[in-house]
Amino acid sequence: MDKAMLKVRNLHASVEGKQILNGLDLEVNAGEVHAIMGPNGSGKSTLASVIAGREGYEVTDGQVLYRGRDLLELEPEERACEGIFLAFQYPVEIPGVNNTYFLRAALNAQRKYRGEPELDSMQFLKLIRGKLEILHISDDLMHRAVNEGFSGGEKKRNEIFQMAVLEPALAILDETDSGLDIDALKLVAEGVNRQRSPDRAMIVVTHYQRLLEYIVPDRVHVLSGGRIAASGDADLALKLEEEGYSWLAEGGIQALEGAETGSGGAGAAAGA
Amino acid sequence: MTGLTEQWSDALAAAPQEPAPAWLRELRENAVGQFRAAGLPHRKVEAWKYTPMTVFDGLRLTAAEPVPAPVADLPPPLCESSVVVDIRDGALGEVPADLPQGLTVLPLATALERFEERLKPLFEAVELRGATRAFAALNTALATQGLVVHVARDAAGGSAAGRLLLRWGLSAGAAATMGQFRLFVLLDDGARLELVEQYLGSGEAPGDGAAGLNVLCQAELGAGARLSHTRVQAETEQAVLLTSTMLEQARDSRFVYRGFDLGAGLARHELTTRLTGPGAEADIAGAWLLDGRRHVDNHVSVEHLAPGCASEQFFRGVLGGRSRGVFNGRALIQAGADGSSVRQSNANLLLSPLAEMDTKPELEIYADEVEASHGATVGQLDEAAVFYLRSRGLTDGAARRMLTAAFCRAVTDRVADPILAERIGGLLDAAMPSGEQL
Amino acid sequence: MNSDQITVDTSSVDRFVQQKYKHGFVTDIESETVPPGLNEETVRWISARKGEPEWLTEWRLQAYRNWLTMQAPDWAHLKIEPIDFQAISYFSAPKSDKDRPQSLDEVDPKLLETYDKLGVPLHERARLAGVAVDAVFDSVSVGTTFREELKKAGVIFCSFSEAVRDYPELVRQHLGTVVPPRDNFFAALNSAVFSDGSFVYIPRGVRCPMELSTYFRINAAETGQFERTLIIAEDKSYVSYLEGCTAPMRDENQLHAAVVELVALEDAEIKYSTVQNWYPGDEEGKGGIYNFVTKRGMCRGDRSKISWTQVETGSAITWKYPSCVLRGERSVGEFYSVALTNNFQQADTGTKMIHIGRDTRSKIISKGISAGRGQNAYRGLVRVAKTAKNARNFTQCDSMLIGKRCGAHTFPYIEVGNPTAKVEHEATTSRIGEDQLFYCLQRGISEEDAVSMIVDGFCKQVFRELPMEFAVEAKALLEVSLEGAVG
Repeated sequence: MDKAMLKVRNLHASVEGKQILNGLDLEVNAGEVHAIMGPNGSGKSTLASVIAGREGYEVTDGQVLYRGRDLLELEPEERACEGIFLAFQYPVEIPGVNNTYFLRAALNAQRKYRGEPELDSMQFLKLIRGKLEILHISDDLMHRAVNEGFSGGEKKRNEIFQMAVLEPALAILDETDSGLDIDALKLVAEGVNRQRSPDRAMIVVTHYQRLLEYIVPDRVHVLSGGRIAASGDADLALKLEEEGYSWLAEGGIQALEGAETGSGGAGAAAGA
Repeated sequence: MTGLTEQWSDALAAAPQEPAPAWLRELRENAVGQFRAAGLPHRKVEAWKYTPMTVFDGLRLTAAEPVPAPVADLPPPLCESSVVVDIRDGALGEVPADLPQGLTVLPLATALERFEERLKPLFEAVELRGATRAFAALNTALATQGLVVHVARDAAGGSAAGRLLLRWGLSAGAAATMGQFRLFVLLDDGARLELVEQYLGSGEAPGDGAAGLNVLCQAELGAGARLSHTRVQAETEQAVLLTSTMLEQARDSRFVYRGFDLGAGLARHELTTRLTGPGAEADIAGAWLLDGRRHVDNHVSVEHLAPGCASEQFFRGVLGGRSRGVFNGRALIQAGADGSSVRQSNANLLLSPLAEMDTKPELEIYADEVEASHGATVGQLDEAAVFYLRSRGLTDGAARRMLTAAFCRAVTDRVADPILAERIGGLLDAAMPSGEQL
Repeated sequence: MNSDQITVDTSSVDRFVQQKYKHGFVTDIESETVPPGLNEETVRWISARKGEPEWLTEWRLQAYRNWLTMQAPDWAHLKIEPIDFQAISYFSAPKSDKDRPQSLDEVDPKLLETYDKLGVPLHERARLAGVAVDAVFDSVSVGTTFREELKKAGVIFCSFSEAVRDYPELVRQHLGTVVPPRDNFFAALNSAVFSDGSFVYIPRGVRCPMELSTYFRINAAETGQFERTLIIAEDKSYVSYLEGCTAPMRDENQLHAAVVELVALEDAEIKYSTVQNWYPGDEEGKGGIYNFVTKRGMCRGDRSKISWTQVETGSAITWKYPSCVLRGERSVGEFYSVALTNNFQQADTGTKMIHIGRDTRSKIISKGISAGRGQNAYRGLVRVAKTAKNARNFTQCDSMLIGKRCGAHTFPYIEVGNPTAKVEHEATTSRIGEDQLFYCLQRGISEEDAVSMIVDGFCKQVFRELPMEFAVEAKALLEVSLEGAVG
């Protein structure tokens, strides 16, 4: 079996008629953590949304294979049940839906999909108890409505907590660091790191290198103009930190020594 | 005068007078004339603009005979209660004699003498108030069936053990009739009562034709009195329910209303409360979940007549099938009622292309030191929330059901008793309309 | 063709002149004002006096007959003494003559002087601001500028009477299609007796080169004013129309019942702005204009847009609901309103947004300010028909109370029959906060300035929609209207 968990080939996607992704290539293997960086508007969040199947994102060309299957054919919930998890940049507030109830419903939907028995509330509480502590999520938060009235940090911790409970095969963290102070960032990163495993792949989408100090990636990709402009190891992120993104606009990719440069739409961006 | 007004006027004139004190006999005679003069409302009458009057065609006026209902016929009580009174087809069943301290529950006929001082002005006042004079007059003229509930000063008629449950039901016996029932709730200063009403049908449906009931409730809350009133209505589609509730609230009294309409072919509820004493509060919330061809009209009016009063109207509606929902909320702040606070909110989900929602949250304000806000929406579920749930693995249908239930939970969460709230939540879940159905 | 029209006119006048004796109607056709009262003869007289074609006379008569069967509306939140419609005079021409002046030079200098007193130096202002002004003094248009320039663009901007004479087919095609003569009591009355008004026609693809502006004034005592305005915007055209009203002091109540009809075809946009400052009555509530207006726009074409902006500071009674019928797919309706009532003024105003076409959008921003003993009601209807898939409405409706004897009321009707529609209504009622006032005072701002500053902020969303010079005027009007409201 192909060891690549996710294969994105020549992906073109548009939002409201505006082309955002222009031939993006990416391969992510189980056990790897990939960081996707890039300036605002480069298409980072669009990639995350396309993988998760958000409405309004039209794939105009290319394909996305997940565990060898055509991912784009699946409904958003099927993708979730197949093990794809998106930690939202802006977690949605759902007034009236209790956080615990919501998460149990999600877990049971996925278990059912996999042919596993559903958990009753006692079993579920047992399951989540330990995971709550890691992320310093209070019981109180679990009794409130989903994300309603949560602080920015609470929302992001809640996303990572959901990830811990749902145990996805591929997790995409969309700007999980935005709006977090350093303590909250560390907490979130610790939560993520605990979930790294040989069976699980992660894509960390971020604008800043800061998060990558705590979640050290195996590969770093720089997104520009809707495609991967450069790929490298964790050091690439550091270089970006020093030099900023402006070199992308000037086409000065060579300025980044050691970076493997993307070559147009056809270039293979990911290593291995 | 329309045909039905004429027909009912004649029936009223011909109805035999039940034995009653002279003052009441006179009021009843006057009411016959008042009904004829007022005439049944129609679409040109603002408050009846959306109500289909044709449902009344074919309903006869009758004075219900007091036939104690066989208890087995009615659905089980919705909640634990020490006092249960059944009213079947508009006829009062047996009234329990063994009541908690301070609580009096009597059939109207029996109570007339003992509470004459309280009831006479209420009987007289109803003619002066209310948008729906015709149905009020009808009730006064014909309602020999009735109930008087009294809670003595500082007594807790509504402690957990002392809850009063009115169990209504319409059966075949009510087919093609328009029954009349009168209810009085008298709370002395500092008294408390928890009143729960259930309209959950009876064992037998009233058949193919309509079955009507016109209930008029008048309540007086003394200073510092507390009335908690929960009403759950899930009658069959044959039921035509008109209920009018009129309250007077004295200083620092508090009225909490939770109303749920899940059934009936036509359910129209008019709720008016007058905050006559400073510091009075009215906390009014409700929900309707409608399917089929149901029509629910909710008319709520809160009048702030004294300073420092607070009121809230909070209603949510879910409409499927060919149903129609109407909400008319009104808050009046009279000159001098400074420091008043008014909140009004009505949100609706429209699930079906044939359903319709008409909403009108009105504010009428004559004082400047007030806080008033209102909002109304008609729309659909938030697609971002649907996607969020689907991205966690729920099917589209499950996500929508969960969000719709959550939408209604905003009202059930306001039911103080968790057990009752859960039971109502269960009824709501069962009544969840489907969007696809035509 | 024009001469044919005139021939017809003359003959109808002749016929009428003969008829009037038959019915013992005594007023000379040359007279300036008809005696008070309304009957079929009055209607015929007005039509003949204006030299109208027969179809229009018949149209008026039909409207009159409808009116007879109708009742004055009583649902508004207004306390009005019953109006004696037989005590009103239904036509008045300025003293000058039956022959209208052909240019500003020919306008009676006294009229121009009156404009000056009102702060509207007509020609100068018009030229400076690049605005064509069609001034209506009482009931007959007395001057039109910039017509030549407009003509070059193909835009027709003239008085309604001229339009009837010169463009009868256009008028006949559109008159009464948006506001039918029997739409309501006051629209029927207007249809029967309308005196004059404005007519605008923007041809296909034309963006009107300037903002069109009309200043209405009521001058003669006890004279009803029944304006009729018709604006037609053909495919892909654009026009911004400004209407301003000021009125001299009057002791008696005056009735004003105008009708405005807008037609927007495919991709057309009409922006209609009003500053209404009719005489509001004195501080005791004596006098003032009764303003019963029917304004409605029809977005007939796909992607058309009609935007109403109004600043209502005048009139003793305002009864007015500029509305949009959104028939074309993706058409847009907007309503921006500031209504101020002071002293004994009463206003019941708002809008109707009728969504019929799919993907139609509407937006309502209403700001009501009540001071003194003023009563201010917002009344609005948002209706989404079954056909209006994906319709959207947003309504924000805020009220401000200044003082203890005024009232602020909100009556929003929302009727939704399509499950893909989203309708949102929000409203707040507030007073000028003591902390806000104190903060201003502490910085050295006078109370009156602070109030007008806060009120101005409250109204900002609406003022933004007005053309610049109108916005300045509106702000000034608000300040004047609020004088004495605080303290």
